[in-house]
Amino acid sequence: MKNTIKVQRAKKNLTQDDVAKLVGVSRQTINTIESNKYVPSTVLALKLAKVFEVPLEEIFSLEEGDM
Amino acid sequence: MKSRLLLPNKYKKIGLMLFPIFLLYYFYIEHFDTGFIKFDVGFKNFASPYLDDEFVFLGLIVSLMMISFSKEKNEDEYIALVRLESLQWAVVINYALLIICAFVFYGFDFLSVMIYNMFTVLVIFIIRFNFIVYRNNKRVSA
Repeated sequence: MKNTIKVQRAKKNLTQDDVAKLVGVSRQTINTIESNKYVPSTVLALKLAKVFEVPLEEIFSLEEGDM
Repeated sequence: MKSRLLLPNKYKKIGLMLFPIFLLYYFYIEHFDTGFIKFDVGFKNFASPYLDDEFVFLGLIVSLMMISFSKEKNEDEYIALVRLESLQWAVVINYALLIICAFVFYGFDFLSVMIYNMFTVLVIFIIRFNFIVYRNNKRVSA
């Protein structure tokens, strides 16, 4: 799974720490999602979409290997 | 996701304080073959006349459980995953070690291995879990 969290953060001018606080997880968690080490739960993904004010598909998308 | 099987964060510190105390207590009664609490009931006579080793066992297990199963300061779903993975790791490594030990130690030596084995699952879990959390924290702050 690919994600555009870094891009979305840049658009909103937010740091990893800011995002972590807004969705109520640790900075570690945002960092591992951003570096594709961890796939967030649906609840957390939806919270991220809310923070970035974009549809879920703009943040997360499937890759070749996921099919 | 709320985990209902975890103690509040402060119990980790309590466990970390209790564990060395009980470990020293264990070395003391083991080394001097002594104890503080006399317990002379027939069925226990053949082993040791003291109740201390039972208390040490209780103390070590409870303190290790406190260290293992207390919430982190920033307990979230990722930490829950690391916790679960570490538990699986610990069980696998523990049994691998036990199998090796079964071929290396015999008789009463293997009995000692079995006694230590009661604690190693938790010890391996604690080391693995905290190492991953520490490594991630280091990467985040770098």
